[in-house]
Amino acid sequence: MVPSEAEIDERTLVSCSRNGDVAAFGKLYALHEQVIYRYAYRLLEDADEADDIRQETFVRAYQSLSRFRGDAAFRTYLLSICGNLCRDRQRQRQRRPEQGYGLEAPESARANAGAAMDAFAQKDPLHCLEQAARAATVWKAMRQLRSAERAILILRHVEGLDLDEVAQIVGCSRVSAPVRLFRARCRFKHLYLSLLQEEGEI
Amino acid sequence: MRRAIFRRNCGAIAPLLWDYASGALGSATPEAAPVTAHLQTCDRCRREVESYRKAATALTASATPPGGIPDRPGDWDAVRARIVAAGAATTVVDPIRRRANRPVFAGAMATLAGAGICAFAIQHAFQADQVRRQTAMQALQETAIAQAQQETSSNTLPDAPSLAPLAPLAVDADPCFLNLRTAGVFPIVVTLQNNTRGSIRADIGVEATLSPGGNRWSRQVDVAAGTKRRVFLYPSVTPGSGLSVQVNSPVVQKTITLSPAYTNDTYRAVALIGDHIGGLNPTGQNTKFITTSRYDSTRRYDSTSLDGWLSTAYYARPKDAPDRAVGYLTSFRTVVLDRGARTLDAAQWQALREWVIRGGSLVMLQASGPQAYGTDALPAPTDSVGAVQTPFGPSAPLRRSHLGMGTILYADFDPTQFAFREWGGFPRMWDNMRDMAAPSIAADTLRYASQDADGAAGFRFSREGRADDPFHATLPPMETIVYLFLGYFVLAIPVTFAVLRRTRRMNLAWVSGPLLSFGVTGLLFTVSDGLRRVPMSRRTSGVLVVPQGSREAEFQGTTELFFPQAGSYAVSIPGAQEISSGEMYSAGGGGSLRALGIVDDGTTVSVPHLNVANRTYRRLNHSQRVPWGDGITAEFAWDTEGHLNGVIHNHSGRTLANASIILPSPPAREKVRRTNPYLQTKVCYLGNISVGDYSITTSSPITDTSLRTENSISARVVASTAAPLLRAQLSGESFGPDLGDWKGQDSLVTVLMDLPPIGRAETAAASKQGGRQ
Repeated sequence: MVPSEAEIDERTLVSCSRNGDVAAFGKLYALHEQVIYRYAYRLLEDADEADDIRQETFVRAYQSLSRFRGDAAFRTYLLSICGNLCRDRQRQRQRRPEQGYGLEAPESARANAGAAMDAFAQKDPLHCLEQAARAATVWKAMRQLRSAERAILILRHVEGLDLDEVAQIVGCSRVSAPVRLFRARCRFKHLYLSLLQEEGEI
Repeated sequence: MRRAIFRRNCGAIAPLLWDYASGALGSATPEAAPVTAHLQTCDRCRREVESYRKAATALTASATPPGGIPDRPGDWDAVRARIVAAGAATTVVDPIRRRANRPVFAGAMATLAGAGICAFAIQHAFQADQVRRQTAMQALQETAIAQAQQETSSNTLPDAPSLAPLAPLAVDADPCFLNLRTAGVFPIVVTLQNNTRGSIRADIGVEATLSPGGNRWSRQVDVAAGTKRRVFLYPSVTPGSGLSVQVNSPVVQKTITLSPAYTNDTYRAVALIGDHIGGLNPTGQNTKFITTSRYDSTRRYDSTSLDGWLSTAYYARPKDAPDRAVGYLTSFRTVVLDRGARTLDAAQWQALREWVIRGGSLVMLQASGPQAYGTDALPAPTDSVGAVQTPFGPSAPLRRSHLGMGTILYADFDPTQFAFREWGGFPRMWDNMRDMAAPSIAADTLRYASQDADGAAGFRFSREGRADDPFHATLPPMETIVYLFLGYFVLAIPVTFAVLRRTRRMNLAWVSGPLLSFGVTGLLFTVSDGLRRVPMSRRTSGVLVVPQGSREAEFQGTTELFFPQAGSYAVSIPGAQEISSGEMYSAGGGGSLRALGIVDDGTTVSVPHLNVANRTYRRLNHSQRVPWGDGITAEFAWDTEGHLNGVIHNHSGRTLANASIILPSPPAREKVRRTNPYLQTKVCYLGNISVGDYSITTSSPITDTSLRTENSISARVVASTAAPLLRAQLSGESFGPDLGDWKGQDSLVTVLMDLPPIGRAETAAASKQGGRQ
């Protein structure tokens, strides 16, 4: 497979960064920070923490660049670091539940509502409201999934990564990745549909 | 082929449904074709696709655009500052490497640490306990020493010897009898001297080192402060076995080993009890006159085949005399008491009494009746049976009384005098005295008879077939079990599985699986019906001796137990003085004897944990006292025409079957000679007698016996006859542990009762005596 121009560029940047070129790493940061932030936010559902994780991810990535073999995309490398950090953060939360897991829901709900209002201004209002409600239900279902399942669904369907990449990020083999994905999908479908039913939409 | 599989198999296309529903699969791709084909045939999967479509659309829709995420611009400067501050790219940890599962690791470490702490604590506590125990022992010892010293210092003697430190609990164990050789019950006495000021509880355990299965006898005793206690135990030994006596108490643990000697010719044994027995002491030179057998002296028999007739004598200090009849049962024919035996306590007299009732032969020296020994355990009425004519003075009167199956002979002279010992006529005199003291039925004969009778009537321990098994307790045949399991594993389970799978009701397997196993269990239970139905069962058989006028009978025999199911059972026989292991047969093999842990609480002997296999028959031999109530009264008299008239009253309503009257005669040498050497008694069966009034005619002569002394010029004839016996059988009476009735046959116990003396015998004897004189 012939690497694309962007990939060549990314590799150059990585090797420069490895030699201590902070500016090159800055370019890498600019390229990927949004992906990392989104991923962290979806996993943690807390903007502050996601921001924090984003910063931490890049610091870690830079510190351990020598370990990055370059056989995968840099994005994959970053996402797996990010996933590990998020998992640690979730464990900390579980150990210290008083640190307000309940605060996220209002925030995301507010954000969802905000997005819906934005869309309302632009598009068909009824459709937008409906879509916002759907999205809220989706994330409600996602929240009930196990974090590994949530991660795999987000990576595959929200971020749209291919299965090989997902497997590398999640840290499982290429063979077991489809199986995990299938299970996560089944669980999600089940939870989502039952939530819908509760809300009286079916 | 592949299509066919897809059409059938919903599971194989399930992973594809999401992508198919969301359109990611692409409707024209080759992967999509079988899905499409399957969906045309399968309603369920179509519904599934629909639900997947909903979920997938919703998820994708909620992702684009990334709505709902608060916007936070990345802060590159902060990252840069941290990177620069941390220096060059130096890696300490691989950020991707998964961390150790910390909770598990922490848990393991905590467990290890906890185990370490526990081990340390246990070790510490153990040491502390040992130290405490040692300290307690030292304290007890010091108390005892201080007490002893105080007593010593208060002693008026000026030069009191300094005392050695006293053990808190002085323990000693000895055989009751010196020179006892036996394969059977070996009575021992354990002496416990409490030297402290508090009561001490001690556990005594006796094990025979070579006993089959390792029987163990145990007893717990409390020793009051400052007292001495003597505890008798009656373990059984096999040839060559030693005895290990363990005494465990809070202050002392001690093991004493005894080594009983063994001989197989003990049935002519004589036990001597007394402090002043002097020349009768078997350790001295002058015991020959007691131990010499008349068969040796007459030299009429082949000495090689009669080696076993040689007698031996055993010696016990009066305080060591057994306190239960079982102490005399195994080997002894005769017990001789001298004046020292006047210190026997009530329990020891009771033991002698019970032993006599069961066919003992007791000789009491220097006494004309039991009063001389100060006991009321033995019957007072005595008959004069003559006198011993010696060259050393006036003739010594001999008197005799009967009790149960046994005989007591009172000889009012002192054979320990030097002149007697040197007299050449002693062996013969002793032989005659022993003849006169012969019991109606000897104790060991009765013992063997009780076991033989049982063996003839009871369960035969044969391994072949069920012919001898009164219960027909059966396990299912092996083929049935094999077919059952084959049907379960090869037929029932796969068929159910296939059906459930075909009908797509696999979740019903949660129900069908347990149901099937319950069914198989039920079937197994049904085919093993033969084992389940059989009850636990017991039967007792043996000999019951009822002494005249007594309300207590002495039982000796065997209880057979049948256990359909394996387990550990508690067997307690009320009033038993001894339990010993009899034969055992287990249907599953393992016919060897298993260990009996015999617990003796001083009044009752029991086996709290009798371990048996499935379908086990087990015999336990035991002897015990049985309350007899008013029992049987029988009165007989000879009339002038030689008819014996009698009445048997049965007040208690018990049924006596096959009653017969036996006239035991003293052993007549010529008649006994070529018969069973065990059988010293000639018996006359007078036919079967039922309960009620009747009259018997007998032509059997009352035989006489003579007491001859070697150098008497004219033999002095003493006529005698023992009291006639009533023998009957008792069925359905409970004598054993309460386990339920024997399914095959009732308990069958032979009752032996001594009848009142019959007048004519005495008159006949008197007339003969008069005639000879």
